[in-house]
Amino acid sequence: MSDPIIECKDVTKIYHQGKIEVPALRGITLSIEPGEFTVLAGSSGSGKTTLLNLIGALDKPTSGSIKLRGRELSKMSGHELAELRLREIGFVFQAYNLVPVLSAYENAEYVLLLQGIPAAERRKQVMEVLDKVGLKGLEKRLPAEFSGGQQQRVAVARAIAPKPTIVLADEPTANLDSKMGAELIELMHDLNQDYGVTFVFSSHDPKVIQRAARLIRLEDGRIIADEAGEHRAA
Amino acid sequence: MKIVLKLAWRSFRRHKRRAIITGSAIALGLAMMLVFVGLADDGHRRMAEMGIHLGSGNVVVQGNGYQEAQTLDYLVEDPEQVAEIARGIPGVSQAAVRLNASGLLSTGESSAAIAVMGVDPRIEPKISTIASPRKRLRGHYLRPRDTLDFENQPGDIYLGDELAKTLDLEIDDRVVLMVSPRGGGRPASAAFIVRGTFRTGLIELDSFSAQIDLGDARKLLGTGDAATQVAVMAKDIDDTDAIAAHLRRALSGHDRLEILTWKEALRDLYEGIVLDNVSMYLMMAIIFVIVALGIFNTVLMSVVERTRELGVMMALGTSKGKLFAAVLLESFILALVAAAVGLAIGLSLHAWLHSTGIDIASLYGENFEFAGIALEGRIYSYLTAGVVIQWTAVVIGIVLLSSVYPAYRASRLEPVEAMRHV
Repeated sequence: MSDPIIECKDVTKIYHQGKIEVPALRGITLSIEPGEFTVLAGSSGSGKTTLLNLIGALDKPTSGSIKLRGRELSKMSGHELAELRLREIGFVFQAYNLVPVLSAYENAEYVLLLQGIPAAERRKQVMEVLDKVGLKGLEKRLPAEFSGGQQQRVAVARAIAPKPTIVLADEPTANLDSKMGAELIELMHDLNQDYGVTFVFSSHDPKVIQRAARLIRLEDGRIIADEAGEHRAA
Repeated sequence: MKIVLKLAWRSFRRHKRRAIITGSAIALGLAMMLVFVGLADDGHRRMAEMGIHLGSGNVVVQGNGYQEAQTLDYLVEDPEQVAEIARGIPGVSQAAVRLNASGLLSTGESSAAIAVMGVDPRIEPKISTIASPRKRLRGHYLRPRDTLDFENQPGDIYLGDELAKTLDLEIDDRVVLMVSPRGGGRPASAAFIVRGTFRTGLIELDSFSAQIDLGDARKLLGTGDAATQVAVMAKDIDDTDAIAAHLRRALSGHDRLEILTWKEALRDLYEGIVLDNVSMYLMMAIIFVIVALGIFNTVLMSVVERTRELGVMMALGTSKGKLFAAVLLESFILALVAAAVGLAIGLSLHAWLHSTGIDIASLYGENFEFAGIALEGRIYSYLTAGVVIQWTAVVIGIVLLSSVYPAYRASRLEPVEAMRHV
């Protein structure tokens, strides 16, 4: 068995609303292995997004330890965390969150540019992923010229183009209709199967949950179930 | 850096209306600034030139202490030699020896206190406003003493027309000039014939001053070959300081001399110009504070509007420095485009004002007087490349400065909170 990509140990996160403490995570311990296709499932407020934000180095835990490929995130500076996100993590957000002034090609190219990848290599990688997500020929369009499903495909292309260690997707199908949502999950599943991209995503959509190779159920900031294997309905 | 530039450029192009409104304010600000500075600089140069030609030249060499005392106790003992040295300096067009004194001008019936200047009639018409044919009202200018037939024949006197009126003098009338010679003693007097009158528009010159031949003045005042000053004229006013420096080096052995530029010799005029500039800059500062507030507001609004987008960029690994640079670069692009438009408008207006000019009377009314100088005719726009570059840089700098806080704010966003922004 290879080393885990993510290791969380006794992770808590408490938000403060004025003087009131709102615990979002209450002692999460888990590890994610390379090549996993994991879903964090749970109702709204169960802590899915908070956990993804912590794993994605977008936020810091109140206590506990999170390691990404053995590196302790809580000990890293803001600049180091930004560098870590740039090099190691791909993000897919619920609201697509593409840069509106950049074309599909440029959105997919964005992280590669920040990474300083040479132009020829960049072009090869971007065209390859746009082909994979089925947007070949539409590279020059701006996000506003795409449907929701297409925009989320651009977001997936942007996330996987730099070949990150892990792709984190927060409710990626929540803004899509069921057909588009199913297509997107199939796409991510194929990328996981064919190219070994590690995916962790949050969802409360049963159809999405069915496709997970590993299902982690959250409730009130705690893991209540961690099941391996296919959850697709027979 | 390429991605930062691309983001800044795209964002600039996406918000066309915002760019046009803010850019127009910047462009018009710069254009107005160039017009004001151009007209003011030309007006100031004209005033300075007039002061120089009415007074002591671009640079004046005089006896050390004369500027304060204004008496015959402080003279240039070898003025012709000084003038010769001055004429050899590059950029000098002419040097004139002058002997100034005060005296009493009398007719049979009345008399008046005057300032009299002994001059070389061959040189003065080329360099002095008073001696210029344009300012002559009646008669002729002085004739050089050595062209007159008799040694004892009265010399010519050329005086302000108001003075002539006060004393009820006509051309060819005889007057007596009485002065206190060098070293004190009994007053000396000599007869003169009114040769002509001038009008400069300045009351102290037209009512109280007169010119006579330098030889007559020397004889009357008993100064020998000495003179009160050597007025050095420059071909270009901008060369004044260089000529003064050159003269100081060339005359370093003459410790009894003081060498002053027109800024020192005509302190009232120079201080008037400085004060006028200060008030103009103050007005511009007010205009630009308003423009800067507008830019600040626009850029800050743009950052607030794009909070979510900026949050995403941070989440993807864009560093705070790059985000700061992207916002600042967008403002820089706006400033460059606006400055280009402002320069096009400003320089077009400058070109028009440079060739056509504005009638001063239409701006300030007749007889506009500034720090003792009567400005007349038209003022034009005068701009140098240096001034244009300087003010363009100031405008671009103001835009960038106004964008620093919004850019800083963008770079301080926390990605998670920023992405929640609606």
